[in-house]
Amino acid sequence: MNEAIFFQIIDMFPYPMVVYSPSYRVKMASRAFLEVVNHSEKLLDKDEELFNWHNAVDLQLVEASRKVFAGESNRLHNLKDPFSLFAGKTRQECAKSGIYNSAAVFPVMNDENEITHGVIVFLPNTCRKDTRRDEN
Amino acid sequence: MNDEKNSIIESFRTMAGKDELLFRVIECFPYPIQVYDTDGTSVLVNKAMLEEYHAVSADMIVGKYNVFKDPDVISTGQIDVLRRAFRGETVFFPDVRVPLEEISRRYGISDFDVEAVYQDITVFPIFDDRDQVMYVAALLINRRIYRGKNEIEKAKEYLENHWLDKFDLSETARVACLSKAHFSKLFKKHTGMTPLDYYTNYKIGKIKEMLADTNLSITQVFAACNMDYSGNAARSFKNKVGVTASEYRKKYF
Repeated sequence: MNEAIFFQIIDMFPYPMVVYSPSYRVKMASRAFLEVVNHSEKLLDKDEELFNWHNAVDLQLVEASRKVFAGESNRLHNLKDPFSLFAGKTRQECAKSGIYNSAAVFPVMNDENEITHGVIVFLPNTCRKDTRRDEN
Repeated sequence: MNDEKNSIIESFRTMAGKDELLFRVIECFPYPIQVYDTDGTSVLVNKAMLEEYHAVSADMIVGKYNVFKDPDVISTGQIDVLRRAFRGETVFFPDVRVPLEEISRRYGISDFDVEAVYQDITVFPIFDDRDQVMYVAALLINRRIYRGKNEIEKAKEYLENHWLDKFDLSETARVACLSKAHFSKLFKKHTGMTPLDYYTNYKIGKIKEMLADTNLSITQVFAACNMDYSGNAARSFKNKVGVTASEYRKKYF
C-alpha cells in the first residue's frame, strides 16, 4: 500500500519525470514522460539504456544528468530539445515536448547518504528569477 | 479506510524496503510537495516544503493544516477550481502570491528573508485501484522571489504583475511611493534601465517563453501577450533580441 501511494504520486505526476540508476537505466517514469516520448511502460521493464548521449542536443542536460552521481543538483532553463537525451527522440517525434524547456536534475540518497539514483523532472519554462535586494 | 490512511501517514515516517526509493524521490524532490487527504487535510509534506517554511516541523502541518479552511485560499475565490482536483482533475494555479505574513503568523516564523514570493501551483489527484481519488498532491514551484523591501522591488513586482497591461509610469511610481521623476531616476540607478525598458524586456521574455510552444503561431503568441504582431511589437522584438520572432523560434526551438 505504501508503495502504491508513492508510486501513484510519481506515476500521476503531471510533468515528465524519470528516475534512473547509476548505469543510466530508467527505473521509473511518470505517465507524462512516457506520453511525451511515445514509450510504453513495457520498455522500462526491459531495463534498456534509454539515454542517448550522442544525439542529445542539450549538453548542459547531459552534464547535469551525469553530475547527479557526484551529488550535484541543477536547475536548467531554456533547453532546446531536452527529450533528445532519450533514445534519440527529436522534438518532432515527441508529443507536446515543445512546452518543456526547463529541467530539475537531482540525486536521490539513501540513509547512508549514498547516491542511489538520479531524477530528471521536465518543466515548462517558468523563467524563475530571484530578485536581489538593491544596494543603496 | 481511516485505519488504512492512518497507517499510511505513520508509514511516511518509517519507510523501509521496496518502497524506499519512491519515498526518497519525493523526499529529495527540489520543489515543495504537499499531499492532502480527500477532506483537504495535509497528510504529507516533503523536505523542500519544510525548508521553504524555514524548518517548521512536519508535525505542525501534517494532520493540522486543511487547505479548504485556509482563509488565504478561500479569499482567492479559487476553491471551486481546487475542488476539481479532489474530483479527479489536474488543476494549475499560475503565479500565486504566497501569503508570507499569514504563514509567519501561523507557524511563528520570524526570519523570512524575502518580501514576496510567487509560485506556480499544480494540484493533481492520486487514485486508488478503483480509480477513486485517494489523495491530492500539490507541487509548488517558485516563479518569482523578491528579496528587497525598497521602492524598486515594489515597482518591479508591480511591473511584473501588470505586464499584460499598458505601461503606466504614474501608477508604477505611485506604487513605489515616489514622484515620477524621482522614481525614474532611482529605478535607472538601481537596475541600469528605465522602467519602460524593464517592462518591455519582461514582456519580451514572456514572448520568448511562449515561442517554445510550437503549437502556437507567432501571431497567437503575440496576441497572448496583448501585443499585435503586425504592429510595433514585432519591430520591438527584433530590436531587443536581434532576430525576428520567427527566426528566434527556428534557432532555439
